Amino acid sequence: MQTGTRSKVTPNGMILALGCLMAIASGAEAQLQVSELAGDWTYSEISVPKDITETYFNVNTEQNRTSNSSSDFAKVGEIFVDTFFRADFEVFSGGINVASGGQVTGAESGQLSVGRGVYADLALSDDRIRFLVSSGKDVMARGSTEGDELQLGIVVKKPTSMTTADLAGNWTFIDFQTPVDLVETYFHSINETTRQGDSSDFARENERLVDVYLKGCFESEIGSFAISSGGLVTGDVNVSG
Amino acid sequence: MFLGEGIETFQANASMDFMVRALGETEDQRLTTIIKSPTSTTLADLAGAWRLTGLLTPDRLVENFWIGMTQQSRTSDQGVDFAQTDEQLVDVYFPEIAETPYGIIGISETGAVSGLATGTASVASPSRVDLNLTGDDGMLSFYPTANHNVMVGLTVDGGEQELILLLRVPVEPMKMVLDTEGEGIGLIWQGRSDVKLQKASTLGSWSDVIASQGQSAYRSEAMVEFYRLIQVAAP
Repeated sequence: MQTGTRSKVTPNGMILALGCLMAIASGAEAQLQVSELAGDWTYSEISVPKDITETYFNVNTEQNRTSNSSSDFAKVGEIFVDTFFRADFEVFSGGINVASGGQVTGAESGQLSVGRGVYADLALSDDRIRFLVSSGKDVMARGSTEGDELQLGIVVKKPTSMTTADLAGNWTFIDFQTPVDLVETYFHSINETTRQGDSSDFARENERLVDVYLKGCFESEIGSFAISSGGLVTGDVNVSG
Repeated sequence: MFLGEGIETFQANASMDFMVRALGETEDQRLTTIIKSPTSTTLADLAGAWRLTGLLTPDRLVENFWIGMTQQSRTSDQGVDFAQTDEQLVDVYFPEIAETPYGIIGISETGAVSGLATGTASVASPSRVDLNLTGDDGMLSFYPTANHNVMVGLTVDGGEQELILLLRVPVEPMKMVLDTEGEGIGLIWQGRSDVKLQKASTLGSWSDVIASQGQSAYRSEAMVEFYRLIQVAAP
């Protein structure tokens, strides 16, 4: 606790004094211990760009103008020649092991510590990642924004053993889908032909952008299914085994 | 459908009530969560503080075409559309900017929701909890895991889609957790109908925080303030 703040516990509960620029770690909450996170974990992450960038070519000045404003558009004398995402669409999966002292090895290497008694802070060689930890201490999650890239990562602690019968019951799935790129269509004004390119492409001489669409789509789905003790799956998903 | 043909691999947690998979394919990528339903769910099972995180993305791309002859613009969110004769594509944009939400909500044993959002929680079924929130949020459905430690929700509305995870915060009875992320400082506790929050600018002169009884979260913007939880008679 920093200077200028006080706290104490009374029979009626905890008294907290709050002040600006302070960070209290009073120890009154159910403290998470780093040893409780020891074990094998699997990390799953999806990354998306924050927005798109547009490039306009001014035929009078022969200069390009880029814009990060989604409310922008081509002005008089400008041709829309390119658009691209400011970061990549990506997914990542990997396994890590957390030792009882917090050392992390595997797909990522670093040191895990407990932040403010409730967070799991992973210090990597070039980054620091903060996870929310569920009270069951076997699911962690982080939503983060780094520059133009947004990420949602979910980390699950592996069971020490698992059988098909352990999974028996009713389940709900939530599928969150995003595209992976743009497709751009350019029209050549002399040849009167079109060609397509991805977001790394750019209008060539006598070309202009006439269409942009997503490669893949934003789509979400919710459904339910049941797993029998023998592993038979029925419901919105129908598979066996 | 989130499943293709052949073997699909998901990662389960130690409690074996939550599975996840991140999958990248040629045409799209996806994050899929699978939640094992509880055999029963009551508001008491949900009472406590929950940290929220997630990912919000747009759900479409919009094109804006300028029509030279009529000097008017035309917008289209159809991916198969393109500039017609005498039209110029002049703008492409997302109707919503992607973001990662963050915050804390509290759910009391009577179903009062407080913190980042306010409203009421109700149990629609053992596998579904509805949060009826005030303001623009409206009703959000969440799917709790069998041990009620994680809830996952999904919204698709007005040009955006949002995946939301709620992770239960471990809080001991009559004690508070501090959250210093974001504006001010958040206080989180196990909401009960016989517990309320009091505040004081100097020790000894306590007053009730209005409508805190039965709540489980409060955010303070005060420069200096003392807070305590006290047990009172249940209403």
